[in-house]
Amino acid sequence: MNEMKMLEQKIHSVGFVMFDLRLFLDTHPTDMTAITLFNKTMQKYTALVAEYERMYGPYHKNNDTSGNMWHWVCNPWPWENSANEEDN
Amino acid sequence: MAQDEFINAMHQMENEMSPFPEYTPVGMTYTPMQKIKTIYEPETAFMQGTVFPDLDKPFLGGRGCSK
Repeated sequence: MNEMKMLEQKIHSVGFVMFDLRLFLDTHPTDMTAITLFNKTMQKYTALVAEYERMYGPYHKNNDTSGNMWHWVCNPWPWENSANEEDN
Repeated sequence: MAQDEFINAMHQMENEMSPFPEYTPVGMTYTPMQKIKTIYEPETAFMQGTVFPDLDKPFLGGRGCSK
């Protein structure tokens, strides 16, 4: 797996942790353990996405703030081979 | 209700709460309240489909017995 894919996978995993903690917080809104974990995870997620975007361009299409060029279209589209490389 | 009052009420409820309701009439189903203990590392959570070890149940298939 190349470094870009590894970073993507990390972002997916950390994003999933955030998602699951958010569901827990919906039914336990004052649980300080969960709130602390959620905040920590969100910081990690933000840092990972920032790292990804610094190296490979926008991760979310709403994050394209580059000014003179719409970089989002430079990422491979889902039907392109480079977006579907085997993981191993 | 003011936010502080709400939060206090929630804390009190959580502290006093049994995982099951006080009265459990027959013919109803009950889900015990989940308490957070530890969570998985992101990679494990992603693979298992949950961040909570308590909710990480094996899928056994079949009707209540493993195959």
